[in-house]
Amino acid sequence: MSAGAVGPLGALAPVAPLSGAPDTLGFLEARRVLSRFEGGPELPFLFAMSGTHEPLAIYLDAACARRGRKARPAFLPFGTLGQFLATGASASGAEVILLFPWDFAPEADWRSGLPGARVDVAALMRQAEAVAGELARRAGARFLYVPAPIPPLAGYTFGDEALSRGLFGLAVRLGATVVRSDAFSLSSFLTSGCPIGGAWLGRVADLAVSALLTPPAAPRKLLVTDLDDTLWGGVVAESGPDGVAFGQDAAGYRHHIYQSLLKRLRSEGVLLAAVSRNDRAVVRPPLDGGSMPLSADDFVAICASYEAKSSQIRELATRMSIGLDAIVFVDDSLIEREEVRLAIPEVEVLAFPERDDELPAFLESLAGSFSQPSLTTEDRERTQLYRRRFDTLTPSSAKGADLTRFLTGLAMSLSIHNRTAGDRTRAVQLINKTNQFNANGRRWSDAEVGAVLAAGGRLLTASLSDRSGSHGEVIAFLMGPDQCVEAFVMSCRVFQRRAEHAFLASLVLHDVRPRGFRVATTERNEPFRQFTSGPAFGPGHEGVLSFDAATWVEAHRRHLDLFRVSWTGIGSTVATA
Amino acid sequence: MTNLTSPKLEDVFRSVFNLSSNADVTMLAQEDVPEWDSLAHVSLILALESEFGVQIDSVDSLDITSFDAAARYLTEHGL
Repeated sequence: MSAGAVGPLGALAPVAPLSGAPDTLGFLEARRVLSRFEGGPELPFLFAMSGTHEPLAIYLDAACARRGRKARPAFLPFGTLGQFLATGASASGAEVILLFPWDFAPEADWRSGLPGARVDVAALMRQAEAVAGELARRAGARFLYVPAPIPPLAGYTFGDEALSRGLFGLAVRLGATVVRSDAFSLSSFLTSGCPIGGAWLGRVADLAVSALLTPPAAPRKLLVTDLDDTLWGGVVAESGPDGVAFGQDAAGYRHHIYQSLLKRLRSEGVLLAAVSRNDRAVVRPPLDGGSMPLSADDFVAICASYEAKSSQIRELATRMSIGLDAIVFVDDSLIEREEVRLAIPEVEVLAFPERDDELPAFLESLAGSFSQPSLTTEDRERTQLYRRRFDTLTPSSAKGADLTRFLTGLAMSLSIHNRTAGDRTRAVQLINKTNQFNANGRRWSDAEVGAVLAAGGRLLTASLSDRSGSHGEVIAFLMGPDQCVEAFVMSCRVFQRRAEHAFLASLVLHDVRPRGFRVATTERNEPFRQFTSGPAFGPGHEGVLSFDAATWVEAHRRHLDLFRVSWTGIGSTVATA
Repeated sequence: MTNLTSPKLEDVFRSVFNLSSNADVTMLAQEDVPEWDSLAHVSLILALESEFGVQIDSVDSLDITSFDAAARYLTEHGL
């Protein structure tokens, strides 16, 4: 976003000092730029605004010159935008339209004084929406909006506030670049007719030229959402369909509200798709249960697999014949977001909020990404049109983005604990509640684990932390006295970080060398099957895959570099870089 | 007015009234400059606002009728 432009809720930020900023286009700098400018390709455009435009002219020229372009601006003859729109003249070229509240609602124009009677805010908003409709029809026009204060019109504070916010909303729906409200100067407006204060002329001109030269953003069409801890609270593969949260209660409210927005967007023609690290059979029950705001029928595709999310999104875009820049992706996982961001920079990536306080800004951003002034019947039926194309969608196995640099930046620490003696409560709990990264799905009682350890087995766990905090004890590993791994599990919350690879490599380097892993295929442990698909694992015999420790270390030593690894409970603490 | 502000103010006056780069503007007053009409006055006020990052109220702007008055205004506003 350019300096001086703000997001929808940042309009009342204080004025930044103008002098001294290297990119500020002040009066003397504008003159200097123009005196040195030797010419360039012409940039013809209409600059339309209500009020006197003359003070802006040299700044527009200078802003173009800075970009190597010779400005060829045209201005409205009478400086009244409303009259211009009333003529019905269609856009004949590039246009930039600088809007103020009174362009939507003429009664709010300070120069007219106040009306003799209180205004009906609802009626004024209907009139304003009609103006917004006229503006929206100007193909290719770029809009700037200054949310200037308005006179008291409604006769009660909340009415004027509602009007201001309503007009602001209309501007945002037009895709306007919002300029800070203090760009408006009542003094300048009353004395010269120019609503922009002198201190802001250069910045407004710069924003106008920047808007002219920036290709219009492609309209977003497809919202791709994660499921676990995003569409619903919890991990369905761990908690089961009855254990996830999406209701109007403390655990589910955030997800319920998110789903209700998605439901509305879907009714307005936005296409919804889900991409989840899961098995398809696992994610369908909550979507088919009939108790959530959204159901499976609201999605054009539900991609449940353990392949890279970026590759699923590319596949969706290809199958739908839509641009990657028409996609918004929402996920709670930092790793998944970064993988998509790195692999497909065109996709807008949004974080599902971790805290309720972050929900309003997130929803506003999401709704803003799909804002459109009007809806058609085709918009409303779009989901059904696309669903037919996705009946046979199979997951793409294309490689995802290389996350090495990003993971290194996370400053991850892996603490490996020897739980062979002492408290093993968390380890047993982890083994018994983990479904996806689980070697065989066997559930163990504490006594059974104790028997293995008493016979000479070993129990090791690992805790993970990174710059965002601690993830707790996330890995458990139980090896029998015969060096066969009987249980190996990792929480799905830390998928994609290569912690399981580094853990096993570190074990081998500390002379914990399994000869095999007892495995069994379950409905949900596809992630573990993928883990054992490399060359270190050999053919199975009686449910035990052979394991070559040296091959594993050779293949995964680099994953140790992603972590600061430390060991505890083996006599003394050992730290390895 | 600071040592940095004064040359900039002189440049603003020269630029608004299209004077040569070595013209002495420190004694300039509206009553002595025929070109200093209402339009030029608006240009001067907006140029001062732009260059010095201030917002000059309409009443104050009526008092800025000379280089000296402009300098006093800026000094009073800490520039």
